[in-house]
Amino acid sequence: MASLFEYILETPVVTEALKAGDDAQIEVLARQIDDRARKRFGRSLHIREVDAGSCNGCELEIGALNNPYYDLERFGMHFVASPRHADCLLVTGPVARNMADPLKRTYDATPAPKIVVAIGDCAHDCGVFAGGYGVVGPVSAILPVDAVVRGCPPVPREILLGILAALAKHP
Amino acid sequence: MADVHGLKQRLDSANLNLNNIEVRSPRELRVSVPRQRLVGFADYLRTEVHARPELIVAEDTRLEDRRFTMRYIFDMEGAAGVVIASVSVPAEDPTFPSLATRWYLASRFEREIHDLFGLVPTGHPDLRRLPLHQFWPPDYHPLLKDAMVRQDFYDDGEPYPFRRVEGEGVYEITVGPVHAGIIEPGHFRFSVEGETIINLESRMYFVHKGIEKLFESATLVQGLQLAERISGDSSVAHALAFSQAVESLAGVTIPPRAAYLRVVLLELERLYNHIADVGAICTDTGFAVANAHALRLREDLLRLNARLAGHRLLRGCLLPGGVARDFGAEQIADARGLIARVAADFDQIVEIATTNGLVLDRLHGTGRLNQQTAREMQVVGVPARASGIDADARRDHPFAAYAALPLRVVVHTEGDVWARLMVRVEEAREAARLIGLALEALPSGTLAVPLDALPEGEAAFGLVEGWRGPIWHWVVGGKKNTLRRVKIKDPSFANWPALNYAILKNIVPDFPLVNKSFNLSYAGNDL
Amino acid sequence: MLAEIAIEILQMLLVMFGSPLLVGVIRKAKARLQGRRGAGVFQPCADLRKLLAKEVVVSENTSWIFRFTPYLLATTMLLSALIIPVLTVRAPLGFMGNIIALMYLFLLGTFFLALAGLDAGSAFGGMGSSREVAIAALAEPTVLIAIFGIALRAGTTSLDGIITRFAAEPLLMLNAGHLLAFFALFIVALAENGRLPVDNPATHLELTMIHEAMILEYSGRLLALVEWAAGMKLFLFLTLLSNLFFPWGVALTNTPLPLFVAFLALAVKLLLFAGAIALAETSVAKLRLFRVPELLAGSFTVALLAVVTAFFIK
Repeated sequence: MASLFEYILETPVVTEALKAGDDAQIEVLARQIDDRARKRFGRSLHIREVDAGSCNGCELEIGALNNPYYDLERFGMHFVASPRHADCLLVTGPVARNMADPLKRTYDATPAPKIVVAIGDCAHDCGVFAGGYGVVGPVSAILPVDAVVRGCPPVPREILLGILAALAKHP
Repeated sequence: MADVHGLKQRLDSANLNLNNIEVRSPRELRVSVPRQRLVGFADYLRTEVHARPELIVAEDTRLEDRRFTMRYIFDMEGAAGVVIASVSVPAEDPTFPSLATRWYLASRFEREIHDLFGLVPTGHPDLRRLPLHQFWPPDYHPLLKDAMVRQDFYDDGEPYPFRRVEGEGVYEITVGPVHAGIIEPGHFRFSVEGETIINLESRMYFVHKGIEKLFESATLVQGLQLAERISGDSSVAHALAFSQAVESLAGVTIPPRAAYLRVVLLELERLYNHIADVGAICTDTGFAVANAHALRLREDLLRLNARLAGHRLLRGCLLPGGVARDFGAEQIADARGLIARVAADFDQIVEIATTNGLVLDRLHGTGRLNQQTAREMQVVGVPARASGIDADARRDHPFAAYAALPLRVVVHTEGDVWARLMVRVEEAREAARLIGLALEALPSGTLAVPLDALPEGEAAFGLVEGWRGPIWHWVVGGKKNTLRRVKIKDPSFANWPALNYAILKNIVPDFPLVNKSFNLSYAGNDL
Repeated sequence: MLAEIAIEILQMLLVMFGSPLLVGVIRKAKARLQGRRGAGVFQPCADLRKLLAKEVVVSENTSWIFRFTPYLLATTMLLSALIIPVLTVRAPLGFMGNIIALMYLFLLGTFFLALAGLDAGSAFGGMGSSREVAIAALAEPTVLIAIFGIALRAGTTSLDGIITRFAAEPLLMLNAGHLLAFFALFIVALAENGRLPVDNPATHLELTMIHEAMILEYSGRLLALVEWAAGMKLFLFLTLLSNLFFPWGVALTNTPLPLFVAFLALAVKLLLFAGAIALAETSVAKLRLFRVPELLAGSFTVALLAVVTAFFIK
């Protein structure tokens, strides 16, 4: 126990500041959200992640958003255990035929207002899996998509930007 | 212990009516077995050299010779090598004798072949569907060369025939396919008495995309890109297995510098994944602080990956014939410095977690998989080594530069969550050490050799010990340097059913912890 | 009369708006202990505000119980705020502030939440309800016994009376029985409020959940009410612990200055408790579910010892 608290005291908080000089884009987007989407979601966004057929690479990078460097929670965002609690669906992967129905049902179970962010090249246009017999299509073939984050997989910072962009865009 | 040459002599004199017994390499024997002799041959291998089928591949070769070709890759005990038996199945009688009652793993390969090719394993006791879900047309076998894209999917509401447990006070808890948290989809069905799990049925293949079909007629470059995306956290391991299969097919040897760099890349992947898993196991005991710091270390490593290889998940740095990226002196110094720091930090986290009595209480004795079950189910990789099975392809089937490096295979015997945690902890340390050794001994020279055209219709395998366990790729060359058939076996395919046994007699709230200690891939299993 | 109503409203508002803040402080402290910045302390308020504006999705299979329960939960918590000495021992409805009445109010909420968990018809809801009820059955007696332990010494079961007595004669608290009762109640407070090591409020694993499993099906303002009520329950439990065992600062008269002092004292005490919970939750793991009864049986024994010492050590 003593060693735990020693460790905590010795280890610095590594959460990276997102100041204007550091990343102007995030700053701009954050301000847009303040102006517009704030009314809708406040500074509170609860996210449900749905893997609709990804290789798990996007999951790895989405998971990294929770690490102390990015610390998603400080933006008032966190991942929830039920679609009923969610405001935002992060969907990864080309939509596999066996996942099309569960994906749709998750969307239907999410209360409005809700946003959908497609994460990764596969979610955008099926990526290298285009034409697979088990692939139905990109996420937009199943759900209305508010924002797409490209990349294979996109890095955590871009995923964060994508979520912010979707919020800013949302009427 | 039998070696390949000794086995050939014994087979020659055993009067098993075999054709074309060929020693392809000092560790690989190939033989054609008549269909009706398959079971006898398999039994012979089982009793004489303790061989077990690790991979069964079907291929639609009807265009070439109006037959299907089946390949059985038997791994002999220890490091003796493999026996590859090919069996011809005539198109007009698409059946083959089942090995399901001898090896459970074979039964699952056969179910897969039954779904995807429509070949019928005769004598198979359980031909429920595996990769294709219930609403797929029953006569649709997508891996047939002449399979058309179908649209007539129809869900008649008929559920998958799960095994049901009935009795007083027994009820079912179903989870998934979409899970809470940031994980892949799969469906679990627990039969529970109070909180005690008495049966677990899992239904996978929700992310079945048809990767093996996509490999067909792909070029090598496309094939490599697909291989890197079979299981995102095992990009290097799958790309390496694919590359090795291609190199074996083309008959080339990679340059020594590439061999050492491959070790570095594979161990980097092992390191970041094992550290994240240790954190994840801790968080599932409710000890979140260890996970926060383990995730911090993983991020340090992913950023190192980006600096070394240009990609956080190390994609794009392998190449059939060698490696695509070189490390400069500065990068090497960067890597050694960071890994030393991460290793020291990781030791502290492990120390904190493993001296916490409440954490230990959750780990010890939970989700025990005994050695006999693990052996019978042909469990591989981390869970196998945590159940006392001393097997590691890096030592038993050396590849890259592993033969030249002093590798310690970590084995624990308890078979519980604790043992799987400790295997990961010690393998992470071992990975850090191996990276240091490989970077130190890094020979100079070229990075890759050019490949000649792949021989059409010829086949070879690649085997790599990824961080989850051994990954097999079976590659058949096609026309104009394309691929004709690729079969992939991720260790998760063998290990998923073992989870259903390890969890028995445990309580429901311990399932996530046990599951995390296996940490199997859905994408790698579902393909 | 007007002043009395004002005081009750003040206590209620304090519980209503203090509770999300308390949850926010605990989360912030935990994030810092994990080496992260974490969300601001007002985050739970933002969450609640957003949820109140969201659509409510209710499965067709649910009955009136599912819709009724969140309102009932919030009401019982607000009623408790009226009768508990939050700031003052002279709250007009304080005469009802009897520990048994309070326990029944809490139990009523637990009972309906368990029913609502079953009502939704999902496997998790039923699982959570069965676990919650098992824990409640083990925890509630401890609360009663532990408070009897100190009530015996104070000579009254009225919460106001206990605090008044202890504030007047602090030496009464200087004995082993008092300490034992405190520990018993603290452990039960953790169990009743779904904190570690009994339940993990931060988990996303449905199969391990207790409290969260019952509310997975709630959405929108119904979810807001359930979460708000859970926050208020934690606030009330910690207030009770603060004021019963550390009665300094609680207003003995309803004049502005003592009330203000009481407010500050409560804030400090709750901050300390929040810190203690964050530290405790950082350094422990979650107990295996079958160890929870052992923990609660232990706390029950401790509470019983508190009563026994009250008899023997005068």
